Amino acid sequence: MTKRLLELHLVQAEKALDRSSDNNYSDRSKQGYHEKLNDLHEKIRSAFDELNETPKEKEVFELKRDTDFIFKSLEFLDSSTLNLIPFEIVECLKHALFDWVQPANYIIVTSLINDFRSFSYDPTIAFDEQLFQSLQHKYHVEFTKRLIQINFPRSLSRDYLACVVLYHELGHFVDLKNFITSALTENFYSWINLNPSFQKHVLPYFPFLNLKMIASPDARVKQITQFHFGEYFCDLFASQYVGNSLNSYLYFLTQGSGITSSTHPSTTNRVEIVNDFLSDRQNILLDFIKEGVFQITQNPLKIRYEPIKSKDFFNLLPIEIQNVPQLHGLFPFGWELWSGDRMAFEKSLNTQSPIPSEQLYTILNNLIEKTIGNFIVTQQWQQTIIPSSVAH
Amino acid sequence: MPPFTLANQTSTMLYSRTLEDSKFDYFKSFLSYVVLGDLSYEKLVRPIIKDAHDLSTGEKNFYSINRNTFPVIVYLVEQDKSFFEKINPDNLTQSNYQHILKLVSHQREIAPSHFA
Repeated sequence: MTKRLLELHLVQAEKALDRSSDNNYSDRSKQGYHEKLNDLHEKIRSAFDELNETPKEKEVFELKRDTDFIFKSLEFLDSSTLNLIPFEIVECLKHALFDWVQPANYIIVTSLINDFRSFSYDPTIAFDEQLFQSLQHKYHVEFTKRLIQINFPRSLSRDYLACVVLYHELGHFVDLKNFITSALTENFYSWINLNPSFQKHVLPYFPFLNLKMIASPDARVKQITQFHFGEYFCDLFASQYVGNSLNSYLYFLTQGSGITSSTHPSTTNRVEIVNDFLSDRQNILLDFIKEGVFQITQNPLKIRYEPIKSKDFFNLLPIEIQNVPQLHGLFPFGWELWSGDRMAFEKSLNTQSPIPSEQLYTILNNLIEKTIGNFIVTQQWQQTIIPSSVAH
Repeated sequence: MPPFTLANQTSTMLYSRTLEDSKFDYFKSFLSYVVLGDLSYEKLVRPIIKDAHDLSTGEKNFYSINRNTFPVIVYLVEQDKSFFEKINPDNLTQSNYQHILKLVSHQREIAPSHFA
């Protein structure tokens, strides 16, 4: 019976591969990945054919697991909706992502989700290195690229204000890749016990801890600590690129909650640590996090955006972005304009009455999108021109 | 941030495996091949055992051990620190492998994942 079930799984995978065979990919790397999946399926099929009638449980499990990888990869590839993806946002996120991972190793695919909260990354297969080692070892099939899926809520896919959340989520992604907050948590208790004078500065950020727990934390306490480190890290990570614009949104989403939960620190604490980071204020916990992140990734937490000074938006013109830090700077700039004085827009539109909010929303999003689009085109143009000029 | 989560798990699935589970499964699987005598899998487990040794002796720390296999390394050392201190990672024996396989074959403590 088990062999028949495995056979069913393999046939289902074969059909899924057939259905996806007409996928039209925007780049060769996705096509190459797809072809590798076909190779892999063939190899798994051969291994299946070699099984005897009553295979060992382990044999069945491994072939099933390897086939699961085909399904998961197809799920990612099939949802890469070329015509629908907000590629301007993706481009900005790519720049941030590639500050932390090797660009050549990853293929980004995107998916639009019918849930307005669904800003997320799915690294399920990207970070499972042992899976790739296993496939290479058993079938001699080598996947040189890893798929990462970015999910957007369909209704907010072109909202350049709400998408600052994706920078926070990118932090979870980088954390998961490097086990940053796991390592911070493991180190935290010995660090705080060795430095009792730090306790009064650090414990307010972890109000669920008492001295007894610090001396001897159990698994549950460690886990809550890790959850909290995760949120602190991701807020700091995002603020490198979008300044304190995420803070404003966070306040709104959590109603400025001063409550600490088992999974999240209070908004007050989160905002405070981000503000200390952005203002370069002394904060012992912040230093602990920065030091750990640097030791693990060899990459510092630092401000990676440049504030926008241009007045072009008030003349309804896209801004000429000069570099990547300015590109990230568009997001806090957008928030400033949305939250600040709207007089300049009203003046440029030559209207006496306040600008309707839906109009401002459309103008801002269109201008940001156009600005990013122009930057992408200019960069691509430069990349085309520079190699030929070097050749001369 | 309240509702935004990584989509690597969902409570409505028939079953769920986290990335961490997968890392343990593969390690266990590779190691069981070694124990059964297929030494071609040794190269896939040795670096993990070497890092567990280095972590237990203090040659490496939580920040410098391999990131891809972090939870497995930490778990191994938590389970039997003195064993990993004593082993010679350049000359692992079948009895070493068997002991390590036993360590990862226990039911691990179940707790909610950070990324759930």
